[in-house]
Amino acid sequence: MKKNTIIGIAGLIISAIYGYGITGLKNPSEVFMAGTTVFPIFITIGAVVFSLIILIRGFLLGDEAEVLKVDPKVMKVMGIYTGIFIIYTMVFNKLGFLISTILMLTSILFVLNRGKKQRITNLVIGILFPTISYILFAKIFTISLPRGILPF
Amino acid sequence: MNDLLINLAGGFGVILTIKNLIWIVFGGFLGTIIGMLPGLGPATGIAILIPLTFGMDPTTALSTMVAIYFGAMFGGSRSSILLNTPGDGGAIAATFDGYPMAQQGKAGEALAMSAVASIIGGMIAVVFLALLSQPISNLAIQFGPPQYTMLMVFALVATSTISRGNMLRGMQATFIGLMVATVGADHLTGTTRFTMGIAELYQGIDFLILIIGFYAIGEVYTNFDKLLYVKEDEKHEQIEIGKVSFTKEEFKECLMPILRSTPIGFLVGVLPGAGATIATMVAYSIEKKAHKDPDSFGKGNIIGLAVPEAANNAAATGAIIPMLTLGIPGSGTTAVMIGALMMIGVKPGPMFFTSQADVAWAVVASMFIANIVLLFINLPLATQLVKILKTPPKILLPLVMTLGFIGTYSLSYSMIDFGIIIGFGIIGYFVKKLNMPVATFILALILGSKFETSFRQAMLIGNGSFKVFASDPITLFFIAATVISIVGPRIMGALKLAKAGKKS
Repeated sequence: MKKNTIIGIAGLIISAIYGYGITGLKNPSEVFMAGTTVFPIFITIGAVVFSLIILIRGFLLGDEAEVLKVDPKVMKVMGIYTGIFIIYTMVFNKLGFLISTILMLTSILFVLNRGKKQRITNLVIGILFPTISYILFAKIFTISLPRGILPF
Repeated sequence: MNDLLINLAGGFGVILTIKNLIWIVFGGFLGTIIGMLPGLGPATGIAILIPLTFGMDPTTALSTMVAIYFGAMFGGSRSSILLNTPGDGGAIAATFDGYPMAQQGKAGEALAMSAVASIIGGMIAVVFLALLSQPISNLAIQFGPPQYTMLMVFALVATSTISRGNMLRGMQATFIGLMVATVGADHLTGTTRFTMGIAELYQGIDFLILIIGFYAIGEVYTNFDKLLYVKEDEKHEQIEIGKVSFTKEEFKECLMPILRSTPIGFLVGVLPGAGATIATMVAYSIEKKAHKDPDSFGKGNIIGLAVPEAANNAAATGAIIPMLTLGIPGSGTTAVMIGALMMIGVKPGPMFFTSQADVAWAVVASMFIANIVLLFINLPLATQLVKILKTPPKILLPLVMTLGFIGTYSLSYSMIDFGIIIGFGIIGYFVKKLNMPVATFILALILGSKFETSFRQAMLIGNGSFKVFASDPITLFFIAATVISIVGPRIMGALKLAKAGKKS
């Protein structure tokens, strides 16, 4: 699909959802133009106008370079990363920053940095980086990071 | 002039503490490293290093960010020269002559000239900044809601039209950014809007979280397009750096071009949205046209490297002016900076140089110091620093993502924000693939609340009439500037086409 077509349709969908949100708002101001709804109405009109122009250009112009090409290999890695990040989000407070981040970082390193030679590198960095970060941020900069199951 | 010197002396008095100096050195060093990583620029650097500034006093936080910003600008050109891979947009022009120089065995000369041109451009630009900040602030203090509204219209439109040469997508991104900015409680009436009943959204969407999502996660995903095809044992061409210095003759040859390109870079940098990429390209093409042997440009001419490097750092400094004096970020990086500053209670704007004069002038002083510090980091340590370029991005990029999560957690301690950065990381990837201007969206997101408030206040003043926006010379000036920013690039484009047509 052409990039302009995707951008145009996406803009119209966002505008429609946003516009629907405006219908539930009241405009509590003596001067109508200074009320709660006026600014959102203006920006919705702006978004719709530009989305439509972009969409029309998408239909009219036949530029092959403007076609969105998605690399399945990248999609696969992004999918795996997203899964790891979602699990990380779920266990972050329970396991604590240190353990969950070691697991997360080591996993994403293994996904990206493959090969027999890389295993030790991935493990060392996967353990060292979160540990140093924990000491730096939690102990030196006193940013509160969850301890989880660890006593420190 | 006396006031300026007194203010600057006061600024140096505040900034010259051991703690501040350590942070400037540390920030400059980290910024240089991040800037060196291909694909990651100063905006990403500041976004992922935001947690470092928590707990700092405003002066230290702002000067650390400035050091990271300037460091990233210095670092960006290292990978341009040695790998032909610019760290960010502003470093693209450094590849034109920097990489050919490295291939000809002059990598050391190129690195040295890049550092020296950067510091000269940066230092002169800081002098301009010091001279202009107070007058601009004094002018901006007179701005009321109508003037502010039109200023923001100009900033948003100019960013959309100038930044990427893609006005339609830029304008659409602006409106969508403004939409996201209206989520949460209305600042004037307290009415909640577009929250879908989610309590966490009542305070609005934290733009810093979105920025981290876009830059720390989305940018890394964008790098996957190339990274996944790099073979395990593939290594970059090994370039011998040699002695990091240049001759007196070379310096003499480059000095005037550096001095010519600095004001160009600075002026372009001050314009909202124009940024370092355009500044370096403009400076490079002007110098090339003016040179007695223009054909030598692009083949390793040292002037062709010095000119964009000076313009790059001058533009970076220029971009700070609208941020500090008007509270309006003119680039993606200053947008991230302003977001981080708001988190620690610093509100840049017309009153900044009056109400927080000690912080403001200390930051100006820190820019001088940061430039000098960066020269010392970049010249003697050049050969050591470039070893970082040998670290595989497959290792570095996951670390950037991890820092993104730490930054997000430290901002809100909320797991919902993890979900937001994961989501916006994916959106950020597709937005990049679709060539949509991210900086435009972020600028609108940051300015949205201020823009709406000014607009509605102006409407109250004008009793609902748009005539209030054409009531005085300042608003009329911004209207004219907005029209020029829309029409100007098109006229220039048409003229170029006509010229090319005549030639052929």
